[in-house]
Amino acid sequence: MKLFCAFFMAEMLNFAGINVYRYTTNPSDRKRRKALMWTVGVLIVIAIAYLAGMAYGYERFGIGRITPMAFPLIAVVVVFVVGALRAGGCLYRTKDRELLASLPVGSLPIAAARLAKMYVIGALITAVVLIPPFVCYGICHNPGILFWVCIPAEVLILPILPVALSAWVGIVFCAIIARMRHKVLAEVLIALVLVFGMFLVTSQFSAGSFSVSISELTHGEDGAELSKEQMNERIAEKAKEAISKLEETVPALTTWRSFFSGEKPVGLLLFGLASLVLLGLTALAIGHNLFAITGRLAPVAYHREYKLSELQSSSMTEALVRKEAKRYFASGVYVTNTILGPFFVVAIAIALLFFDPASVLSKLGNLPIAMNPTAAVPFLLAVPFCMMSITASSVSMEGKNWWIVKSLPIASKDVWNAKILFNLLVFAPFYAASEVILLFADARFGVAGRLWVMAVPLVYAAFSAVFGLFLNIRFPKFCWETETEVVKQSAAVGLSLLAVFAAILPGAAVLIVPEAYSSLATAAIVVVLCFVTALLYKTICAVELRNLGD
Amino acid sequence: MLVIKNLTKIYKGTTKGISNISLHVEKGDIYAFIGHNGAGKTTLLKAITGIHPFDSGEVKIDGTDVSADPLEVKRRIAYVPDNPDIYEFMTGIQYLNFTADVFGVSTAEREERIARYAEEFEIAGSLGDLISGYSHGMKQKLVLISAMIHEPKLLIMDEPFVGLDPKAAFLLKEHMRKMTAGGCAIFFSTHVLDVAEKLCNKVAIIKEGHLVTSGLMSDVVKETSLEDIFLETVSDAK
Repeated sequence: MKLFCAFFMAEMLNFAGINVYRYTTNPSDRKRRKALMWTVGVLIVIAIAYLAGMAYGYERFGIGRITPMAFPLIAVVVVFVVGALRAGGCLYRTKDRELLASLPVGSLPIAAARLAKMYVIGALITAVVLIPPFVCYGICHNPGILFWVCIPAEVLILPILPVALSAWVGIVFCAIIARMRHKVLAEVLIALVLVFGMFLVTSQFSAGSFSVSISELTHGEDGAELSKEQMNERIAEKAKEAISKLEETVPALTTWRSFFSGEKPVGLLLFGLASLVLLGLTALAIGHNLFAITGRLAPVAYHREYKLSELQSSSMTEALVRKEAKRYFASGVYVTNTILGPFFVVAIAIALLFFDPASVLSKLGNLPIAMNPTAAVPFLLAVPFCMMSITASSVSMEGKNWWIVKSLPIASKDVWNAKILFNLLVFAPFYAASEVILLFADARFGVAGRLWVMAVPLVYAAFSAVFGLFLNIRFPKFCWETETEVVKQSAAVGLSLLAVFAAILPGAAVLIVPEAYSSLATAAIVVVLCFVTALLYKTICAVELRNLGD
Repeated sequence: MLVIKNLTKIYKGTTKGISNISLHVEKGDIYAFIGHNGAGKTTLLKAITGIHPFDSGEVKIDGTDVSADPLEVKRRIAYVPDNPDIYEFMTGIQYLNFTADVFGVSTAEREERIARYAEEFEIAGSLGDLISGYSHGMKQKLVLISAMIHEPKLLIMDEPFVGLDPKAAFLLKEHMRKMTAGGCAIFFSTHVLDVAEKLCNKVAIIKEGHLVTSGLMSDVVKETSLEDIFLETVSDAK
């Protein structure tokens, strides 16, 4: 137990960079870390507001009873996916294997401490996903004191099962990746399957479950247009039907719901107990074999005798872009974190081929009804480009190699241009594919609509790349242990998510603008965004790279 | 070749750095720069290569001011850091080719030089491997080759002998002599005082950011050894 505590403390010591923040004597590092903490805080507040809003929406449509069923399920899926993706870097970490193997301790306390860290992360995720909707549910339904008492227990119990399962799935992923020649590709494919799978599962519990054709909601059986109140009633009616159908089809969901609604606390405890047993067995099984597992997962460097062949010279820009490409594709976590958005663009384009824009909007964003859904399509395609720009971490990813660029005869502007250009080159095939796919849905958009479908995502892609680099130059982080710290946990990346709002908010505005003015509104947004992008680019070009980093 | 006048660089929020340093490295010089850990050797080397901005003073390389035209200066020099942190996601040959592209070395010249240096440093067979699989010494050899690929006028090195095997260390010394015989100047920091004494014609000693002594090796060392002078200097100087 003592050893477990020691290793657990070591694992948690620098959780979220708190320890470095406390003891760093570098004022700029301290400032950066503070900015990161604020960013994470703001993102958590946004997530809380979104989830509470979602639960409130369910209440408004009279389907609030879905809350104790859907949100625990969403939490389980998210904790599982995050756990499975993190297992390689946390539970099966190979970096410190030799150091730990040289210590006079078995691997069980080490594995248990790492699992405990994964559990703490899972519990934090569960708290964010579960508490806001449950508070909303509790206020609206007044389910009794037991419901409120059970919430902390639910937050503690719920992540146990997905953490245990993710440890097993993680080992499979790590084993597959370790044996593949193209490790990064394997890592990216696995992440894509997991995230899209998660998206499909969770979307079944969002407004998408109740999607019906838009005309069914806006028009009565006699074809007459319905008032707003009538439309809301119609939506609620259809949603209730869908929930009842779902509960009939999967009866286990009713039992699941009763665990988290405070109706069956004993059931919740039994569920917790069973989960705990599984986690204990997992810890034992993996713990006793951790060094053997990590030994097999450690990457092997293959040597082939090299014969110098003809070399090709290229221009400075080409060389820099090629370097960016090699850096990018060498990191699984970098690719995974930034490629999902562009994949979503193509997925949305495919969805628009088969469904009308209103249905796609309702699937994606809990917007079952809109005045002008077709006008929002260009913004729908633009949002994923803004989700995670490559440039938001491309400067920080230079890490200890930053001295190379600084010591070479390269103008700062060339370095920034190469980073932006590479970001756009990654987006290009996805943009092209979505545009080609949407050619087949042309008739729905009209000439003006077609123009905006082409222009808006392009302008947003450029904005996202420039904005990301602007932030990374403002908040660079060259000193890091793992790429995850830069790609997922840096202030620049957190702040770059704000770009999503630059796409969502105007998109939402266009959604409610009368059709006659939608083109004008879109044009105004495009012009403003082009201006902002140009301004940011000018600011970037004025930055000297030697002023970045110590 | 390298003129440093009253160079001062203090790290923000600290008192660490270098203060009021002046040095003169001429064509053909092999100039050793020695000092205890944390004395400011790396800070000075990074300031003169344009990696770090400095607070005041002047650095001119081959007549060009580092602050006024850093790109032109960088084209004429090469820098070898104390730790060979290079792009581990590239293969050795890709890294050398990248460096050659940046310095605008022609295809024929880069092929000839890479082949020659890689053979000499015995890493030709490993150039197709990822740098992440290289040992510290192999990375150091690769950095040295990349520094020589464009035939710089001034070579600045930060403890270049660390991690090199005896043969590679010998080769490096030979190359340093050859390069300076051809008109190049070399300014490098080292803790290996024997090598510095035998190899270099000039030496500078730094202590806590201040230059304690500098000049011709023969004038500084006189009848004693560099080790004695160094120990004496760093313990006496204020």
